[in-house]
Amino acid sequence: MNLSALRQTILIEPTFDAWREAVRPLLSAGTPPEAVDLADSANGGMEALFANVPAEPAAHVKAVHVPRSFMERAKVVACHRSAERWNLLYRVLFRLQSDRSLLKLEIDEDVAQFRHLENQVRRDLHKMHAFVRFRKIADKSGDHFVAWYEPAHHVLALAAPFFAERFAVMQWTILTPDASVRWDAVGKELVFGPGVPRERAPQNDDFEELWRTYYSSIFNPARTNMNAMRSEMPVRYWKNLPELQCLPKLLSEADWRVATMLARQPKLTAASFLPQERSLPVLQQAIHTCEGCDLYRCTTQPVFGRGPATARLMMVGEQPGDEEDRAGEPFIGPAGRLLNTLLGEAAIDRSAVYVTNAVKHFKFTERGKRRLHENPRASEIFACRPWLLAELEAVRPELVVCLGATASKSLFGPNFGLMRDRGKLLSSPYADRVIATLHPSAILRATDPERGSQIRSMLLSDLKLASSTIGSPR
Amino acid sequence: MVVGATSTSDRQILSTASHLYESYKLRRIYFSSFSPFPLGDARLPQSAPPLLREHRLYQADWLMRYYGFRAAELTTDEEPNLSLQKDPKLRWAEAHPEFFPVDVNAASREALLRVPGVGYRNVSRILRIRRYHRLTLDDLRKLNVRVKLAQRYLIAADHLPHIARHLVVELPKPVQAVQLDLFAGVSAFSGQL
Repeated sequence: MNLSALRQTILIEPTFDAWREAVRPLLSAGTPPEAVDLADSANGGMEALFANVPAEPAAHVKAVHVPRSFMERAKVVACHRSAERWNLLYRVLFRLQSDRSLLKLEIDEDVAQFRHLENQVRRDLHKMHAFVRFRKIADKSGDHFVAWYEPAHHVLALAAPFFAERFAVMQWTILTPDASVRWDAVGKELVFGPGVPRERAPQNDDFEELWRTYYSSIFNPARTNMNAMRSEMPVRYWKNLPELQCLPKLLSEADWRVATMLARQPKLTAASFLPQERSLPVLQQAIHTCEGCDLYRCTTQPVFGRGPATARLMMVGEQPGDEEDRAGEPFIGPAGRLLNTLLGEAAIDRSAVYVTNAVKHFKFTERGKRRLHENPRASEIFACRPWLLAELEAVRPELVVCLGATASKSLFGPNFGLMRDRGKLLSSPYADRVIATLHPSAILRATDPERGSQIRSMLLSDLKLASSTIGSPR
Repeated sequence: MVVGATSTSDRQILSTASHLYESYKLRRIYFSSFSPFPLGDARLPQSAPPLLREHRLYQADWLMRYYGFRAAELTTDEEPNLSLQKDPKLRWAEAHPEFFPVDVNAASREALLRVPGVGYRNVSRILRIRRYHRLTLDDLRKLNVRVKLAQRYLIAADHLPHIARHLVVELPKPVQAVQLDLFAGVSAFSGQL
């Protein structure tokens, strides 16, 4: 006899409680799962002759065994959209009567299916916690936050307590096509209602533009991974996430943004020309091979620092000048001579000072027979910095005096403001104690004598500060 | 740990990680591949390492924390970086054919954990189920084991992998028995011809 022909169809409300009511008599009557077909009444299941007619009274009513672990998991499975879920639940429950450890038998077809549906619902629930976006509506009664969301399964009732706890003081509503829920912040209760079409949900709010701007600015174009994005944030959720409206633009710009960023990156530094051993004589030999920037092309020679390796004070200038370039020694030109005078006035022993430059090659423009000094670019300062750092490492001075903006920028970065921070005892990432001051050549270049003497007194007072700093406890 | 900003190999990274896990009882280490940023230090590389490298390190990290692998097993001195083509567990299995095949219905937890395609939770499930049921490939499929990959390394109730075929003892073909003639010129009694 064909059993499926005699299958009794029972239409139930698509809720877990309705299913429970429907299967209770079936189970106590011992009706086998093959004999019934449980279907959603909302789906307009096939018109059945025996619809909602309870099964024929059983000869003997058996005690029903329903493990709690099953009930908890079944509540989750009941939220699945699959039409077969009611039959599956009954089948598992029926078999549990004779085999109490059925749920542990994970290779069983029904149990595997049960677990599969449960996992899908749990995943959808997890996504709902993350992807609901509220929109603010202000009216006489105050602010109200309304969200439109399309869950893959009927998870609204499972998800609502999470939002109730999280947004307990706010008046909020979540609308979905199947049902809606409102949080009554005063009465502290969730009020469920019928589903709402998308058109009745609020379309936009002022805050959204701000949120999109924020999302665009934290988007890292160098780390786009569409596969990971699609698996963590399935595409079916995208249309209700306002921030993803700017995603296509962000993605199309990503390659270009990374390429421009890399193009602006300083290309070369002296780092690869530094020798393994970092003692001063070895460094001085090695600097002749340096091609860390383009300045080496037109100069006579690089100019390395001079002074005792045990110096307690290191002075960092800008770059060698015309005379230094020819002689291969720092601070011997006009500015160097002026520095010597100033050091004498500040009572600093010149012979005990290690002097060097932030940039080791002379940068100039040729004007007739004369070579005119030109300021080094930030990229050149940056490229030459490994030499300066190696000198710092080799000498380990107690105090570093940066003469001029170039030297200061080398140790403090391109945003250093010399006139703002000169004459103070500072700390740089590369040296504990640094004083930044003006370059002696600034006195020589000053257009009016008054300005010149002003600069001179500033420089002198900074040098005196340096003099008093050396030897003072840290 | 930021990965790929320096030339540090995966072997060094994993050994540091396992040192941190063992000596400092860290619960979790996160790996993030270096991503270039505007006006960075020139010593930094110009491009990001493949995102897959980060993924491979996480796989190796899981193998160390849950699967009983030691850091030194996952890479070699000759090849100090994890393969980008194959996951570290598969690489280890390919390099250690002597360890396989593993019998799903008899092997220890430690051995099962080393089979590619079988995950941590599935090992527990297998151990639980096999007490009352001999597992077949079809059963493993239901547990979402990656059977296509794993079957090369597994013995199941209905399956023997190719590499295990040599373990089957080939019995010599039975010799056709011939009834000896009682009245022949030789003694049937002694059986000698």
